[in-house]
Amino acid sequence: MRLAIIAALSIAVLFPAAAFARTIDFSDVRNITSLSSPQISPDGKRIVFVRSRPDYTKDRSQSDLMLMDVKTKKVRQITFNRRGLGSPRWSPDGSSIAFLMSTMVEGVTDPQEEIFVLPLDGGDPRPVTKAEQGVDGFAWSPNGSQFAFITQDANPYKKQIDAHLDAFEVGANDYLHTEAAIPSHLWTIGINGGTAKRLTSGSWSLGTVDPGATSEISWSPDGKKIAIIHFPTPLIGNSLGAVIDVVDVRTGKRSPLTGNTGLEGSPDFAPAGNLISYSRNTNGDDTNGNAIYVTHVGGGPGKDIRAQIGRDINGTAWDPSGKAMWLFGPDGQRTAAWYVTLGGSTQRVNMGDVAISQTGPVARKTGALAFIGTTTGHPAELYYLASPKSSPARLTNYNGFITKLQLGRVVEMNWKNDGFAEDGVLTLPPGYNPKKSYPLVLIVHGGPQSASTLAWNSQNQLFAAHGYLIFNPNYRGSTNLGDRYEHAIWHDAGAGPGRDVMAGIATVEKAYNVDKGRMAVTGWSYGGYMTSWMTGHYNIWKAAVAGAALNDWFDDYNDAFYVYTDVPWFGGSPWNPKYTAMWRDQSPITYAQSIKAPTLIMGDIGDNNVTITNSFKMYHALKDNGVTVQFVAYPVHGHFPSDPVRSEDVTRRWLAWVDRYLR
Amino acid sequence: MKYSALILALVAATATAASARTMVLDDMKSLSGLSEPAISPDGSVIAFILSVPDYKTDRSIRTLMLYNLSDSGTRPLTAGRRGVASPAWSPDGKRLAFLSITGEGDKAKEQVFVLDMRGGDAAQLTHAANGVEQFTWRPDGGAIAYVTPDDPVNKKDVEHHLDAFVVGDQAYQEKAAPTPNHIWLINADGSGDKRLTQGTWSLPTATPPGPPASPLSWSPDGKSIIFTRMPNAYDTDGYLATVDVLDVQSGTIRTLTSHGKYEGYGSLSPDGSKVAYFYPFQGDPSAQNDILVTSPAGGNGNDVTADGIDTNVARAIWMPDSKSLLIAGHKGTDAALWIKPIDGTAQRLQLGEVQPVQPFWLDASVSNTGAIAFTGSESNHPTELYYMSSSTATPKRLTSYNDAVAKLDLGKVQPVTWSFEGFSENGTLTYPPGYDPSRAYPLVLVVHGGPNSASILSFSTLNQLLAARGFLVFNPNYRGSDNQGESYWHAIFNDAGAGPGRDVMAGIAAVEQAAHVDTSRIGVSGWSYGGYMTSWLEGHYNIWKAAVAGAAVNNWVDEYALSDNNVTVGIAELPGSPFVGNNIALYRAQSPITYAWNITAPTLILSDTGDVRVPITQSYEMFRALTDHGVTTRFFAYPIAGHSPGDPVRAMDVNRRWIDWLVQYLKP
Repeated sequence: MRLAIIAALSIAVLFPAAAFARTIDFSDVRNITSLSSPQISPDGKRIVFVRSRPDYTKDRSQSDLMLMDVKTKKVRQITFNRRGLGSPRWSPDGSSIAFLMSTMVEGVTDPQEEIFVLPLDGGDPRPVTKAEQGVDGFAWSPNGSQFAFITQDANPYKKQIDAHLDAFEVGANDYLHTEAAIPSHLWTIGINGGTAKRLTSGSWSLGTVDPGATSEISWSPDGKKIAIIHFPTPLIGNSLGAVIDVVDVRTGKRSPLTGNTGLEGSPDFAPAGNLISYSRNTNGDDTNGNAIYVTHVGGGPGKDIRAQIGRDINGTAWDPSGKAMWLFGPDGQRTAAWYVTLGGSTQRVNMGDVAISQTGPVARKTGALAFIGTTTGHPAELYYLASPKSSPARLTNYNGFITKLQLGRVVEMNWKNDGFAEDGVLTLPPGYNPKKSYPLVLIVHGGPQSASTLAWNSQNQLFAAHGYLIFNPNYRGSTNLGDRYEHAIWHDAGAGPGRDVMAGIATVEKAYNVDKGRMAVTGWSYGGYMTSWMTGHYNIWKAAVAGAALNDWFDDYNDAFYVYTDVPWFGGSPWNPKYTAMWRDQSPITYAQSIKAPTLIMGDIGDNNVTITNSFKMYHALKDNGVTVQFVAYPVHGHFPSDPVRSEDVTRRWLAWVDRYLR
Repeated sequence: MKYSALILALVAATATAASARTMVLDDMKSLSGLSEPAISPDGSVIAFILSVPDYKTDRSIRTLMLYNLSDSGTRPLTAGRRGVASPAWSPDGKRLAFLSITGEGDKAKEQVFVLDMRGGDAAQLTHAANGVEQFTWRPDGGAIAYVTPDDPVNKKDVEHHLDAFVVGDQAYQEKAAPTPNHIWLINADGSGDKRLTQGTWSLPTATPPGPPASPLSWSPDGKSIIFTRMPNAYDTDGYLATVDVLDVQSGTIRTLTSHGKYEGYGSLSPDGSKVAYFYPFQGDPSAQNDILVTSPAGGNGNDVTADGIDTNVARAIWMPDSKSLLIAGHKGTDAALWIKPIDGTAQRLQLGEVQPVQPFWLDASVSNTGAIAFTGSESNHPTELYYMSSSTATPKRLTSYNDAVAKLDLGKVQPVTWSFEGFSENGTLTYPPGYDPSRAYPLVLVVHGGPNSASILSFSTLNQLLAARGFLVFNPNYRGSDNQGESYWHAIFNDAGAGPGRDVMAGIAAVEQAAHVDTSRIGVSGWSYGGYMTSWLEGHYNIWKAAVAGAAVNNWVDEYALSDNNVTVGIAELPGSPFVGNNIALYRAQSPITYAWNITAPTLILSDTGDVRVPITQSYEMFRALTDHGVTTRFFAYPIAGHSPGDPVRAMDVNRRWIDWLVQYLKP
């Protein structure tokens, strides 16, 4: 890190920067520091956050807790070489920080994440829990005397499993499961440890297994109640039935909050304790984006406070006054913040060119917000926003070295199609010359409930540095243009989105000098779906990269963890003859015989999100029809290789394939 | 050993006379396995593998045993070794080589060990980093040729997590590209270990369940080795295999025939004058295996089993005269053996009630004197070691490891035959012990897998356990079975379900003539292709009150895209790739999942999560379809690799769940 800075300096001294600034390469991306989990102290004076740096020799990231003094912008490292560190949380009085960290627990073979408390007047972090299955989530009680935490129950079949009687009964799980999914439940424990007390039990769960969605834990300000998410089973496949329960801390008695039958999330007690906010798809229609409802603790569904904004909200925070909330979510090509009063006024916060990537709570005393943000020319840094009226201030400069490089300019694209106002993001090659024509590479976002916005994007920059125009189109189903747009992908998974993308390309071609003879389409996950769909429907591509591509909706329903959560896409089971054709007609594999573009297929063998079965089908289909295809598999678990070495390898292969056919 | 066996047998015999009880699940604990008999060159002793289940450690304890024909004594030759397999006598009969696993964790690999029969511990001969797939003594006994996989070319990268691999025609759960197998030579004293072949091509690997990989075969002068050569290391591309000849001295390789594919299992006659090899009838990959005999100088040779034998050949072993072959294959409801003179008429051996073990491969060996040792069973006696002093002798049962089960009150097993759509068809019927023809019994079908296999009059644990619970148990053969000749074998090609389904229904009608069936209580069950048949029959005939579908092939597209057979499905089962032209319609029409919405019978689904032969995806599909349609179904998955649980504890658990489900819904 320090070496890199020196090298940059000496170049700057020896040569005029403008002439010699080089473009970005993989070695630069290796030096980017990641920041996460910003947590502002109750008094608003300090911010704790997690700093992670990749180690390509050990092939892992080292995460440390950092403490920022807002006034002086001085930052201090407060943990050293700890493993599996995350989820820092201030004690209510601001005197200590609790966090999760990997540690060995007696009687358990593998390290587990447990709660530790780090006093801010000196001393090592002190262990609190010794949960055999580890802690999935926790929250300080309002008076700071105890924690509520979530841990998975012990496997009741352990004895049989040890004796190899380990056959398990299949339910709404994915096909990579090798044991029954075990529920997680709510416990409390004193901040000095000791015996934990179980508050809930049953076959329902406060979380799901792999992927591990974990309930929020929201204490009522008087410490008597905790709001949680009640999942019907520990499986994502059943998670449409998730509702909010309020648990009485003394008795463990539970009662549902709203009377709704599902789709609820993110419960959060208002500071006064009389109200609770929660998220739910607009009007309880799971094909809509998330609205934010505020209801009385006494119950009922409450009121959508986001109605005026009409955007898909992915984060909230109560203002200390209890009379307003911060809402976060994509809006057009920006990641936006809104300040909404319960009285009905809405203010969109002026973020300038800063894109929010992660937020935390607001300071209880001052109402200030800390967040991790980026710009199109500067990777993640810590930002501070004193109030909804002020402008964001950057507090750190971990990644400033990137700005010294010659980057590609990032511009927004807007177009109209099928009655929608649509958009996307275009990254120009560094030194773009409008008199020259450039090959065009699409990198299509996944989700589809996601959005490409004006933010730092290493992959776009790496690719642009090879002389491409990089286009990230949004398409119906994206989360940045409201419910109608997001809703429009349901029952129309490929055709409509495909037309949206084609209209976007036409717009790019009008504004910039595209070499129409050299275009590639690429993407991962639903971006892989879009890639397979586009190559199967439009014969304009010279190359394609389909990573973890959803090619067959049947596999998504039968084999992946989605199961019943896929049903709303098409209205009924794919095996019901009434719906079979719809599932099939919207699967890219159905059109595989139309594909001509040389295609690189990638995926993880252990992907339970978009199962590798999808890629095997497309691989054989392309090969059997004489299309140039290479299928590269990663022998790891997960939807994308998360370690530094393999994740870079994915990007390298992706870029090399594009270079081979377009450069 | 011998003493205690005799005493136990006596006690059991005494009990039988009074009132032998019927078989129960726990009797599986007393069932021993016998396999891989290797008769010494002079025919005096037989080495074999004894496999005894240990339910505490959930392992089968494998011991290399020696049976002495002169005094009928048996003694163990190995103690405490892991994974003992593949015993092979040195040509002079003075040493016995075998494979055993050594090393721990990732380094646990099979290596060749050699026992000096004058006494002494087994000495480890090979130290192949990636383990030994197979080995063969050179005819002079001075060296052993063995096959071992190469290291991955990017081994260093893989250690640094750059372990992404280019996928080929391989199964969907593999975590690396396969590396080629090659031939090495090592002196019998452990010196001079050296590689004989190299390249991106490969020798085949065994992919269980199935036969062993095509064995190496030496010329008598030790100058050349016949082997099977695949174009690459991907097992599935093994259909492109040829029989090749390696010149050991120069390392040059030539291909024996002009077929260019579908060959395997080349074997030189003892005098080195002929080569016998496997090749499908008339070169049709969807036809049964025949034996062709040619000259080691080259040429395609002649098919010697098409006439007279006309069955799928499971194995061909040269007799010492170099003029005839011992041929094995299913015939009707028997496992048959023939002596086939190269220039004469095949003679079928008289085996009485004895059924040599030959799923995929005849488990037998022949001495220089022409004596035959094999493992086999009878319908009322589990597997033992058998011996024929010559091909014309009557088989003699040498061992009594499974007498305890044989002495139980077992169900009688009889063949059932019927004619249908121009085929003469058959199956086996197991009666409940104490069957009373005046009473009606519920009927359970246990349909064999394959489909190129057959139900014969051998001992079946599951049949007997079901019969003991009061069921008539029917094992139908159906077109595609390997017991009625080429036309029957071939008839399943591109007719995977409909024809076989009608065959089974005709078989049920024949059973109803032969025994007193309660036609309101019929269940269907099976594993693998037997699971396919179960799902197919459930979706097409509404007569079932219960079903058990284990590792069921429910979707041919998954078999083609994901299984370890993958692209060969489009060669041997269906005409082409599902992704080409309109073939998808053929694949769908012949996939049981297409008819899932018709199913009403309560269905138990079982599968291994790590099954690559029939990927578990197909069980998930059926489970979702039945659940979504409100059909009673439960699905239990075993979190292990393999096509069916092979360890004692889980294998018993499969039988328990299977039987309990049928008992619950058919109430015998």
